[in-house]
Amino acid sequence: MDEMKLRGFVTPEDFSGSDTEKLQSAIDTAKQKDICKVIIKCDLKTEKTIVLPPLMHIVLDGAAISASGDFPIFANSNYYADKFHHSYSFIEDMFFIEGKGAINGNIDFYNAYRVVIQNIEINGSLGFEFTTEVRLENLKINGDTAINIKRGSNNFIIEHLSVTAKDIGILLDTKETETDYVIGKEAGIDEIIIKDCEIAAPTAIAMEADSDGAIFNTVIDNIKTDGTGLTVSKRQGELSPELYRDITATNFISKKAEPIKLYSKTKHCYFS
Amino acid sequence: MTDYISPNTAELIGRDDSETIQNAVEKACREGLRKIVIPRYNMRADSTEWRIARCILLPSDFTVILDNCYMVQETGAFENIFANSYAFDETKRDIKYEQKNISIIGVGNVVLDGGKHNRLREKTTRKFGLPTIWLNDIMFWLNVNGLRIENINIQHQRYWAINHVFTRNVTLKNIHFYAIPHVNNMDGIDLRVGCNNFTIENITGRTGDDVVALTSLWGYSEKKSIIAGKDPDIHDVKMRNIKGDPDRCYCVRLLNHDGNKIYNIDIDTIMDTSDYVSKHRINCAFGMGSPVYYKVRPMAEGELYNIKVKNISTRAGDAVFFNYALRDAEISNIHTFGDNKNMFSPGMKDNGNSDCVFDNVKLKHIYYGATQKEIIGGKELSDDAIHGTVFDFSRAKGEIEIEDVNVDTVNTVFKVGSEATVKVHGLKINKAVTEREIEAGGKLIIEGEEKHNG
Repeated sequence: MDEMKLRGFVTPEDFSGSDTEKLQSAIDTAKQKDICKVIIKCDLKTEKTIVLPPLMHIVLDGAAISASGDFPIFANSNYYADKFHHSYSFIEDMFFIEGKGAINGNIDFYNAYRVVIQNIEINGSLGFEFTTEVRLENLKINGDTAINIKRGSNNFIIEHLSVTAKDIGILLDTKETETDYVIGKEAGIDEIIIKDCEIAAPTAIAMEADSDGAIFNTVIDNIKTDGTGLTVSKRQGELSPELYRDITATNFISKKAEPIKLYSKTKHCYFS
Repeated sequence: MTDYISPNTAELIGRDDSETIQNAVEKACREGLRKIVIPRYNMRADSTEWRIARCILLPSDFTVILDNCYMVQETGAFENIFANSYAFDETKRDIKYEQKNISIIGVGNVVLDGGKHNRLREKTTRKFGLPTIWLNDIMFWLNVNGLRIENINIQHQRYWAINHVFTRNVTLKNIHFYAIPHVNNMDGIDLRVGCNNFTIENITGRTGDDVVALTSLWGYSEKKSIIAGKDPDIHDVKMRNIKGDPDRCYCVRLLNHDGNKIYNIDIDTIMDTSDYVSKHRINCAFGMGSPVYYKVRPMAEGELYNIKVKNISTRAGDAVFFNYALRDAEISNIHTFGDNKNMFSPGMKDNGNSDCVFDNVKLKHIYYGATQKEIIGGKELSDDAIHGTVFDFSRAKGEIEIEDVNVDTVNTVFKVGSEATVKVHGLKINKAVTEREIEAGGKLIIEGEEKHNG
């Protein structure tokens, strides 16, 4: 009888070696044995990115995980995939991160589906590219740009966050930083819901579309901030209104006189 | 010492997974723990799936934690995965037998799967020796007070995934669906007769029929399930973030007939996530009423009221349907896009008799942004090739107030029937073939000035 399977989870303490080796081994074993759950009880410091396979549940049980350098602490396998995996066919499904503890570093997802991150403290940023069906709930995030929703990402529910950011709380940005695509996916960002968040940042939410990637079908409601609530196209400047369409932004509680600043025309947007 | 029972306990192993889990439920009750945890690993079968050949019946004051587990309805079985223990007991059809405080909470990545379809459908329910179709639900709840279901992925449901009848005080949260519509009626969440005080939040994914349907109708099974002491109305339902693709059906549907009422419905955000590029459009984002499904008489005035909906975005053929009657309603911030055709329409046209009486109805912040494929492709369309109607009140009666209307390219903005009065403040039209068609007797008043056909 496999005791680990009966126990229902794997921990880094089941392994020896450096913190990185222990944590990656725990995750790889959890996947290989189809246990799919790792509980982290001790503080760890990683020397490189911990790769998350699909169908993985990470629970912090009073632990803090830190990165020793400038790399994501967690990323899904597709984040480092070669160009042959840039296809919807290789989308990776089901990631769940939660618990009592802190992640002191960044988490990045690329070409992923069904990602849930809840009830945790993150001292870093969350990044999503070509990723869909994401729920972020009850998070405390401190970062330069706390949440970076990049091109090709859609279907997000972001609620009940407490964010402190040096620059932007939540950035929706379709700009292509290097040649990139996922076959079967559009470049735009859409179907985003952001509600009931407190964001301490010069800009709570920023939208930056690009010529081949619109930002549309987005509902933002009840955002409390000490900075500007929403900026649209501040970096890009004037673009076609089709690139910022059907955006709803309501109930900003901001100390600024202009809680919403538009640097481009928009289409069919409801701001109040 | 744990505060729960696990089915992975040697003494609880039964002849199959269902019996094993049911044994765990019973032991949890005997020992006063009233909680089981179903883990991913199934010790009995040495596998990572739980195959449910018989419904797990849950008593009052009971919690089931699903810990990263995968549960599937067994091939050939006609059984729910979960139901309350009195759900099928015909001697308990009274409010005094109401069961209470049942929770099913997912931890991590939980999947409940309909598995291989057993060919039991609405057309064959109770025929040819087959049982009631309600046994195909993933979860079935009858006469329950206090129910909580959270953080679960449901896929390939055989019928309605979660079905509630005469059930109240319910929280449904963070439920994701994935259904490839290979049979009819693969609804997500259904509230049938007698349901009230629901909070439904963060419902996402793809169903094979309506995502959320509130239908107070007297079907055969509903009549057999009448609970003495409970009324059949559906009321006090709050929904937030219904973000899904209902295949060819409705994101949210309200439907009542035969004297049953639906009231006090508050919805914040309905998003139609059907993919524009590759998929047919859905039928409707938010639909009220229908000229079919009644046994004695259709819905009458005063039976659908106090309906508040804000933030709808859709490319449905018809964004909002209305039928028969609507009172004290406000629908605001509606956006259509892609290949949407009509925004506000009377319902199913080919069954007739779908007039609608409006009483104190307000529509605000309307954005008709549908763009026909040909226009996107750069084709110049002739007027008769441009489709769509923003406000089809040709079968409306009573007064409707509309504020802040923004219209892109459309065939007709207003159709006003002979018994309707439509008052509009704030109207911007980019291009319309016909701005208004007003029948004799009907009134269209824009910025205080009565308009005539043109």
